[in-house]
Amino acid sequence: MAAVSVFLMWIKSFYWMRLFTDTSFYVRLIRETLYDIRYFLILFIFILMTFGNTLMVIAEGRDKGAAGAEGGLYKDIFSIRFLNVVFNQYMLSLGEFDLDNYEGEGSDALVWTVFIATTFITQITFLNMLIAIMGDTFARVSEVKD
Amino acid sequence: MALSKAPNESLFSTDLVITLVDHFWERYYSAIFMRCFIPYVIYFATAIYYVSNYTVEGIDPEDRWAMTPEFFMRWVILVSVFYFAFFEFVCVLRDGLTYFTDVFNYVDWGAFVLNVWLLYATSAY
Repeated sequence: MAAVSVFLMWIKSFYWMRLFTDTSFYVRLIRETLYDIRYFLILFIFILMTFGNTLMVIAEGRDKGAAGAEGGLYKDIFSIRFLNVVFNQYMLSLGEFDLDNYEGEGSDALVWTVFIATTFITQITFLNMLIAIMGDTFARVSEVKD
Repeated sequence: MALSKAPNESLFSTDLVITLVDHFWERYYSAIFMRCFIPYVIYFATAIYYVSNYTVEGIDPEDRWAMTPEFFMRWVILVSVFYFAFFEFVCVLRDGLTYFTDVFNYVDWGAFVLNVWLLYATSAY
């Protein structure tokens, strides 16, 4: 509760930044950016679930007992398998490659194929699309400012 | 029709409108700065310090009414919460249902409720 309280207080400080010309531009930019990426985020979550679910099924067929969750392909953080794999894919999209347990018994080629597809589609394609959308928003908001 | 809802944005580039907007903005800016922003900075700094330092550990029950910094901060936060809640009530009466479309209003009420609860949980046994 205390953590939520301080979080809300800090968030509210962004509201007050709208009072000053120099900072209000950035507050508007953040708000517009979050608004513009709303549909993209749905696709992003879906692609995380797509590869996450694939990885989850592959992991079930691998050796148990390796470090982390089933088959050692992802860590058990949320105690819910699906959330664990989605989180794993999110970290993978940010460049956090936890490859220690990728070489297990069987399905190695499949695991690495999923890894390559994930990094190419999620990390390279999707995140660059996100930056492109943000660039468009920045251009539009700057135009209004001028 | 209110100027802010005028369909033609080029109206805002006319000298008359620019002068009017500048004039009223300076007046409102000054009032908002003194009556809202400065009190918020005090409320913000006090609440952040209080929650970060006292709420998790709690205070000694014997110090509940002692003249400690915690005691003064407690009252500063409580008065600030009511001060800003008053503004929010005015906004609710003025805006009606549209008040509930701004996410920052939920942030305000969330912080009010949590801060009052944390003050109670920290100082009452």
